[in-house]
Amino acid sequence: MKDALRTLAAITGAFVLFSILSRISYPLALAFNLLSVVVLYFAVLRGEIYGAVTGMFCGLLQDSFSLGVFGLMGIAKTVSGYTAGHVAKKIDIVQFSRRYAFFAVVLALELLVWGLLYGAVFSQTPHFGNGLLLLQPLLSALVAAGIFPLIGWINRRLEKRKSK
Amino acid sequence: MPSFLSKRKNLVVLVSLLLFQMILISIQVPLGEEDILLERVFFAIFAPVQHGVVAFFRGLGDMWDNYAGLRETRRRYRRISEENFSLRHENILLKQILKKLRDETELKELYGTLSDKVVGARVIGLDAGNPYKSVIINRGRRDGLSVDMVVLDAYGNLVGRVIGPVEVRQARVQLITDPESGVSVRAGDEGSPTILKGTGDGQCELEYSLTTVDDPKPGDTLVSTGFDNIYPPGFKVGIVLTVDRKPELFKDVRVHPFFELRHLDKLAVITADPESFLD
Repeated sequence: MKDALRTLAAITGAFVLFSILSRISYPLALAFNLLSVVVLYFAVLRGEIYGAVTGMFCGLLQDSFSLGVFGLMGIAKTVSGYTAGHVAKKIDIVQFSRRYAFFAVVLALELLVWGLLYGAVFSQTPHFGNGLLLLQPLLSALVAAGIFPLIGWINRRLEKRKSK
Repeated sequence: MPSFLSKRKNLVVLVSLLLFQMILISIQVPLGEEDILLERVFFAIFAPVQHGVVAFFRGLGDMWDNYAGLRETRRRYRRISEENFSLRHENILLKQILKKLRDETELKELYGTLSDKVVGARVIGLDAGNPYKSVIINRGRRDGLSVDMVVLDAYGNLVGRVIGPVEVRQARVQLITDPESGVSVRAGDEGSPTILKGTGDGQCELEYSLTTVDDPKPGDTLVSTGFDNIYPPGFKVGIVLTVDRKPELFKDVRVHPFFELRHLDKLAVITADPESFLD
């Protein structure tokens, strides 16, 4: 229950940030997919099933705020959540560079799945925002890889405060 | 559960989740433009969050502006610009009516109710997939909005139409730059009618514009014809950028809409059925 509430809070936070970014500058909102960052974080932390379910929820949320077929991004994020959770158990992603490369590959897979589904449904290529969408896996992976040491640092600070 | 399934429990869950979403996708086909319940639920829960965030930051911005001084001047300016905003749209609608009606008494009767037919709205969010497809506005069912209502920018140029989901205080607007949209347009009053659709990158193109017909030419202003039974006639839609004549039946015509997405903030929604006062 606690985990579910934490995940919901993280999703809401990512959505709030997306809303702010899209009002400041839409290219920024397009370059960083913060909902994908949430999916990757919980997939690595809690495993493939949790990742897949979080992915589905985040994907459907993104779908409900974009005009088109409801479920396309849901499928893409479910696949990326599952893949991230499953592969993270088998490889070493403690180092920042390894984690970054792994997340970039998973997010590229997510984009590929979404692009293929979009192409199959609409018979046209998706809007790439002058190539910015193609940078999304690289930029979002940077945030996702950086969030682990950041949350670790916050947790250590909180524990220090508690022990005092 | 059979042993081969219990061994691959995770995979079974993944396949079930994917299957569930594929069913979601497939049930949208018979529904057409109607939104499915789950999409409405997501929208209804998270749209107020977006509304709140944007309202909060707008509030902060307003506080700063007031702090910077000239509070009274600003209040007056706002009132006048709001009046101006309503008057501008009333004026556009009146021009449409004047074209259709000659009888003065009939005109007076209609004028009395015109100001109630325009609802001012503000953009609170852009499309999460492609910003040129749709925007979310801060008006909904409570303000009398419903599907297919026409949306104009602050200068009376056509922006799009309200589509679902329409929640209590939020609604989605399909932009004319969306590749799935279609507006019947013509160049000026005499041009041949064609269909304008979005290209998905902030611009539009004309479909079925015959190579044998002279119009439109680059620089021509396109206006709605009303033949699509959604957008009333006479609204300015866009300006023709390029015309590429090919040795084919139809030519390529690129159109730039009059509204700019990054400046899209204040909108006007025509809440009455356009046919009720334009015909």
